[in-house]
Amino acid sequence: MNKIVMSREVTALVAFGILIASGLFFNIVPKTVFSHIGLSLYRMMTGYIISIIVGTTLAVILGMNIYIRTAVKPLLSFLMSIPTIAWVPLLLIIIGINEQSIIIAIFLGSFFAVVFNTLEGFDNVPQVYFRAASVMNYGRLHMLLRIAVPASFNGILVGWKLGIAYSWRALVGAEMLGAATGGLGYLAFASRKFYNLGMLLYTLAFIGLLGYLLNRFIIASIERKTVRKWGIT
Amino acid sequence: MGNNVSVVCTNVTKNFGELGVLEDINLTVQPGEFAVFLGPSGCGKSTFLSLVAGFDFPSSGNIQVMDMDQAKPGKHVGFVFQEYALFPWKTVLGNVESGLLNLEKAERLDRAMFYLEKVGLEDFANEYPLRLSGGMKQRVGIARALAYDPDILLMDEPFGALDAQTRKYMQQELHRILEGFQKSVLFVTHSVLEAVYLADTVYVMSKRPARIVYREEIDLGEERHYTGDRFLQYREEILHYLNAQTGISE
Repeated sequence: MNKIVMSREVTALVAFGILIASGLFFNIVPKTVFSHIGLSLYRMMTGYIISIIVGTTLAVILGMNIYIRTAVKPLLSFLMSIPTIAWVPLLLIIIGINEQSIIIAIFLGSFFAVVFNTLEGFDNVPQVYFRAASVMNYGRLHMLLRIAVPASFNGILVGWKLGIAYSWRALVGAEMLGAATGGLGYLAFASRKFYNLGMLLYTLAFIGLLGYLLNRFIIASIERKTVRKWGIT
Repeated sequence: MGNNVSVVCTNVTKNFGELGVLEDINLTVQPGEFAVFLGPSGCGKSTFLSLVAGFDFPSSGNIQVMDMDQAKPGKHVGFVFQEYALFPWKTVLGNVESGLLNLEKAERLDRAMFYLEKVGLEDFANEYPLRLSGGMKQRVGIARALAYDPDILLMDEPFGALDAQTRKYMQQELHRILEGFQKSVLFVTHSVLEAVYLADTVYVMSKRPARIVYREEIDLGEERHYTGDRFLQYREEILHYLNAQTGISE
């Protein structure tokens, strides 16, 4: 088990190393990269955390009703099929070229995936848990919070995981499309303009690394403490 | 409770669309009685227990449970499922406590530990069900169902997924665990040995749609072992009726 985790870590680091090394061929890593990283991470966490809270809560409330669930899922499936980057021009028109547009793009990136997968999780809860709880006199709220939510936690986590990946793409895309001055997406785009190949490679390296680390440390640690321990993956 | 009967089924019939599952079931289970239901696979025995639990309604007829005119789910019933149905996100202790949410924390713990000791799993209180064997999981299932002191215990092929050795052991354990409790038990199985060993009353059900074709009261007295003369006599008798339903020749 530990060996497998190690080797996964190593290959990711190798990929990162190659990009950095290629960049060094052109010039050294400038300090400014790190302030762009900080800015991107700050935007990412704001949009992502809001989408997790709003998306999960909404899905849990909607999800209890099988009719709503059946009606809403195709809609979400439709909305999920629109790449978040495609929303960005619309956001730029409605909201304007500013910080909010980026945060909303990040939010949208993960929101639909979070809601959809939570509902999917509810669909897959074995009926027998509800039966077991019903003879123990569980009311609606207990059924929801003590049975439905933990029993569908695997689906919820899939949503959170996809959410990170989609949000991260949305963030970089929105920064590139000109909604920002600063951030990794902006940096990649600006590097192209100035033909700064080294900087461009560093940017790619850090975009990859941070996306990897977000998934690895946020979701994987929650997984270890929940669904892996319970054996419901 | 002041009830003199636990479960009364009157002309209970259940159809799923065109498919007849139960037909005209009439029976009474007394307080403290251990009733076992035998029948061919897929005959509707489990459906019958679901109706008594109130998970589903009869298409016609009525099931009276304790002081309720109609069966509905609640704490008068403890249900033990074939697939255990333990909550994997709760520890063994948490599972047993899950029917005791109305109690104070200390009392809840006391009560849950009492039943865990009863089924011999007090050392596993903080383990997750994932770590337990099938037999141990079902002991937790039994402890969870007994913990809130229901009047009626419904057991749907509880030992069906266990190996032969564990199964026999669990039958003896169940007999021991229930001693001293005045529970009515409705127990579904397709093992005749299990039925004769555990039952006060054995009901044999027909192929679908299931009717009750035979009823036998078991009185083994103190001789509750699998090889006694009376035990084998009951076994032969019941097997005869059951084979007639499954189409196995003797």
